[in-house]
Amino acid sequence: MGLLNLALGQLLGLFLPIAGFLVALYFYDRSRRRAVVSTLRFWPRRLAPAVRQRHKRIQHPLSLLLQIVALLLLLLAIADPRPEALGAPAKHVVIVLDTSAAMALSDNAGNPIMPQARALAMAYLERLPSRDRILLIEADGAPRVSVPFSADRTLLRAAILGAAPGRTALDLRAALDLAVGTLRLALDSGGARRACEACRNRPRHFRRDGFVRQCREPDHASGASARHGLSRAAPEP
Amino acid sequence: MRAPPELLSREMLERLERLTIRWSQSFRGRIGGDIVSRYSGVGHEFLDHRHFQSGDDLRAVNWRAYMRLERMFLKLFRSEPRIPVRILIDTSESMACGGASVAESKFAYACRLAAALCYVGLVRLETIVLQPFSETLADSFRAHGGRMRYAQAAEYISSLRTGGLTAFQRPVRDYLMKYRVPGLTFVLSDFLDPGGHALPLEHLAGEGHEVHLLHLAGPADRAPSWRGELELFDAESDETLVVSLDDDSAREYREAYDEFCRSLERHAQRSRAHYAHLSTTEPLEQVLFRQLPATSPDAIKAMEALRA
Repeated sequence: MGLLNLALGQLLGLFLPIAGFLVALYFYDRSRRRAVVSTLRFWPRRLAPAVRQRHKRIQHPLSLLLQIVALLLLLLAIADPRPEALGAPAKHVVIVLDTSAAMALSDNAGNPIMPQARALAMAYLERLPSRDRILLIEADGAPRVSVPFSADRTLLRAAILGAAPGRTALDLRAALDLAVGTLRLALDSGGARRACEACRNRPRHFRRDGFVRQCREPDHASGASARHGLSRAAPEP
Repeated sequence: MRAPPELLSREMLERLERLTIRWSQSFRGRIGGDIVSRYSGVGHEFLDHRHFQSGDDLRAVNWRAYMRLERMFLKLFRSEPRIPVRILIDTSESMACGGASVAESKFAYACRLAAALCYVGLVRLETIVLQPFSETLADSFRAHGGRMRYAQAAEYISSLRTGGLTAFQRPVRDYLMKYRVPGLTFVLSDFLDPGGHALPLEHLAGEGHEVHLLHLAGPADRAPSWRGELELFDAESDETLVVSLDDDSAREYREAYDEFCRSLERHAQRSRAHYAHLSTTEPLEQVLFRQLPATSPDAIKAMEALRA
C-alpha cells in the first residue's frame, strides 16, 4: 500500500505533533481550572484533599483515544492511501513536466532545475500503484503528449529521464487543457478498449447510465466491474 | 482594573433628572436645600408658634398677634436643610471580580451607580463628595454647582482603579475625622472585609450619618458557574484554595453567602442604616427607580407616609 499525496514520514510528521498537542490540550482541559474570586471565606474547604489525589489523571481515556483515531483517519484521508492488495480500481494520472526554456536555468544555490524536476516526477511515479495508467505531458510553448496513458513504468521512466528543456516559454494553460482533454477522452473511450473477462470485446453489454456496476449477461454478472476495472460506463456501439 | 470610560448614556441622564436624593432622618442646623426637615429653623414655610424667650430673633416675632394679645409669639418655620451627600466607593481588588467580563464587574457597576447618584444630586444643586477607599481613604472629589459639573465628576470616576484590600476600620475612622458634619453616606462595596465590617459601620451610623449600605455582588459571587476541580485565588491576598465544586458544595457555598448577606442586613437594621443587595446584572435604572430607598419614588412615598 502506498500513500499518493503524502510520504510516510510526512504523515507521521503531521500526525505526531498534532496528536501531542491534542493530548496536551486534553490534559489542560481536564486539569484544575484557575479562577480569581473575591474571597475564599464562603468556599467549603473539606473537599480539597480528595481533589489532590485525582489531579493530573485522565478521567475519560476513551474520549481521548477516539479523538486521536479520528485525527489519524483524517490524515490518512488526506494522504490518499492506495491499497493495491485490496483490489482498488486503477486510476488515470497525468504528469505534466515543465520543459520550457526556463528549466535550463539554475536555482539560487546553483543547482540546475531540470534534474530536480525529473527527480520529483520520478519520485511521484514510484509512489503510484503499478496498475495506474499515467499520461506524461511535456509542457513548453507547444505542449505535447510524451507518453500516452500507459502502465509501463520503464517507458515512463525513460521518457522522464529523456525530457530536456526546450527553447520556448511555458504555456501552462495549454498544457492543462491538453491534460484535461486527453483524460476526458481516455475515460470516455476506455470502456471500448477494455471489456470484462467473460464477455471480452463485447462492451455493449455494459450499461450507459454512469458508473459500471455489473455486466448484463446473467452468467457473468457478479464481479464484472472488478474484473473490468473501468470507472465509467462503456458507450453502446 | 480601571473604571469604564463611558459611565452613563445621555438618555439615562435625562431619565435621572426625575429623581431626587432623599433622606429619612433630620439633620439639625443644616439649611438651604430642597428637602424639608421636621426641625424648625430658617425657611419659608410656616410650621408653628411658640412663646418668645429672651435671645430669640425679633424678626420672627408675630407682631400682629402681639398687637391683639399683647404677648410675644415667635413664628417657627420649617427648615430646608442642605445635607452633604457623600459616596464611599470601595476600590479594593475584590471589586474587580464577580462578573464574566470587566464591564460586569462590581467596580464598573459601582462607578456607574456613583455617577448616577452624583448626577441626581447635582441636578438638585446638592453637594456630592466622592470618596474612594480601600485600606485607607483616597483623595476625594467634591462636586457641586449643578449638572454642569457632572462631566468633571464623571472624569474623576473614570480615573479610579482598583487596588488594595477591603478594610473598613481605618477608612471609617478617617472618614469620621475628615467629615465631622453628619450627612447622607452611601457605601458602595462588597463588604468582604476579613476584619469585620459590623463595628465600623455601626460607628459610622452612631456619629449621626444616615448610612445606605449598597451591597454589590456579581453573578459569580453568589452562584459560581464553575464545576469540577478548581484552584481559587483570593483577589486581595495570596491565599489559594483547591476545591472540587459539585452541586452540593455549590449549594453549601450559596448558603454561606446568603448568611453573610443576612448578617450584613441585620447589622444595618441594628444601626438604623439602609441596606440594599444589588446584583450587577440588574439594570441601573431599575435599581435607582425601584430599589434604592434614597432615590426610589415608591420608597420615598412610603417613607413620607411613615413620617406623617
